[in-house]
Amino acid sequence: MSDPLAKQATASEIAGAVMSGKVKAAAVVEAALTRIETSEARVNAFTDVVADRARKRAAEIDSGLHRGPLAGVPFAVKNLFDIKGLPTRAGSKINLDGPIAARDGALVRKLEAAGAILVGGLNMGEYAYDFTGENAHYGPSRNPHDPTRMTGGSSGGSGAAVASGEVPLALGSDTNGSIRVPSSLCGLFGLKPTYGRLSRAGSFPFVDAFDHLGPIARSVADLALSFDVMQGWDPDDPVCTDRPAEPTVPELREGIGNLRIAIAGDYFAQGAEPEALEAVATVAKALGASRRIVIQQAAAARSAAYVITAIEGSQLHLPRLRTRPQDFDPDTRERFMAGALLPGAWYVKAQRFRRQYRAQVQKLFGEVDIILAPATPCTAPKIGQVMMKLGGVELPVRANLGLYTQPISFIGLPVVVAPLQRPGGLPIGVQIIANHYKEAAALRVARHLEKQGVASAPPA
Amino acid sequence: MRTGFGTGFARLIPASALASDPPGAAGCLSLRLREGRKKVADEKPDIARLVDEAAKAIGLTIAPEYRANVLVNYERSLAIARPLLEVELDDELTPAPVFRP
Repeated sequence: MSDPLAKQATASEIAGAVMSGKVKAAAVVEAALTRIETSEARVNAFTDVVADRARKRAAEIDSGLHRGPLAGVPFAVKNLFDIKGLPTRAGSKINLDGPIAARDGALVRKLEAAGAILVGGLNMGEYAYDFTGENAHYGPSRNPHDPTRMTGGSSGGSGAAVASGEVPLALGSDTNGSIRVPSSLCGLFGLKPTYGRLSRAGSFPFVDAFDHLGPIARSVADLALSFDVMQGWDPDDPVCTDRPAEPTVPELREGIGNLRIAIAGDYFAQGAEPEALEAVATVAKALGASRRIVIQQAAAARSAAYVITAIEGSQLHLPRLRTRPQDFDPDTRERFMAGALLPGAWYVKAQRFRRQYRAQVQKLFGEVDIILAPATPCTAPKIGQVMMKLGGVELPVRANLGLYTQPISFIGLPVVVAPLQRPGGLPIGVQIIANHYKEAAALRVARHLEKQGVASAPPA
Repeated sequence: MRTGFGTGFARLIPASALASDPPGAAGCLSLRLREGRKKVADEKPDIARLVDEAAKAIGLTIAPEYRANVLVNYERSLAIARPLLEVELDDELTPAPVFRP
């Protein structure tokens, strides 16, 4: 077990130490605040640090006011989550003129109810329309493994904060890959739950059809622990499921048992750099998986996800595009403008196709329990890089980092990203995809890989 | 639901740029028509004109310094949308979102 005050300490280790009285929550919070102060010049993960609030909360925990499975665990949230007393930036400058949040977002409240301590809000791509982690207003979040490189986005600050060891746990959002892409490029475990599984109340929306929230952490146990305390129906999010919570922590002990694991071929085996495909092969070998399956129409699914995102996201921001175009990040402004002009017929077709594609993939899950696929087509590109070569073809970075994540979130499947560290190289992740509401299966596979030493977070 | 349904300006776009059914097809359900044979544009539309007119229709002013990049992004969207537009769907396949009163 690591020193609970060290930057490598996981949330589970910290909570264990706080609950056993080995360390005070106040000391844990001070250590986190010091790390934030030291690391920020290098990684630019935070836009807001709520030090006073965190210290007050830590004192309450130490006085026995709040107990719970995350007692004393410092965490931070992508700045599209409401934080009481702050404007909800969502990566924008415009929202600074908006309302001040009257209460915390639902998931912030749930984590704090379990004893965790919010220390701040995290950098992100403007309005979450981003795969890079860059932001013209607040500067790019920087990859702790190489600060000249992207964290991936749009939950870039979430990736940077956890990978640099500032905090052991962060929340992000994932509409098309925004938890999975930074998890892959920063070498972390990330969970995008089933669509509707976790409440989105008190978070700034992007694309209602695909918006998911979830955790990024340094261990599978931390994903499971935080996911479990965040589950539960919430009437404030009309999409939130009323299924009873299904705890995943006890399931982690099950191992991979009889899970039927397959590798996604065809679309998911094309257009990637060798390291992305090698990562999938390494994971498959460790799991003894050799079966290849084809997810039919994955290219059309990615296309439909793009169309729905462009049209819904642009429609949401149209009033601001009309009145304050100069205040947008140039890298999102013109994409939103173009999206606002796309034919409505495309949107309806994409939604109709979504049903067909879901039925096809559901059929596949009659034959397998887990599907493996690359999380990103490559390791972290350079900050500011506009084009990249994938499979010998020159393509725009922004539109293509989510090539393999989009066809999966399009139908709301749960995914855990397992990170592989590459000695002498940058990390890269693999998607462990399960059927709807089977987060536990994906977490079990990730835990198995972690135990075998195949997947791990890097030394902070 | 916080669902947006686009901007509804389809008629302003040249027919060749759209993946729409032929006029009247939507009403002929008994014929169980598949989508029009011409699913994607054979001819590249005049993107500059399309963008300028569509922007007017929805009251969006695109400043000259933004216009070139809007055109690039619109063109990119046409390319990325293509695999979707080539898919054939049965008439009874309704959209996924469910409105619950």
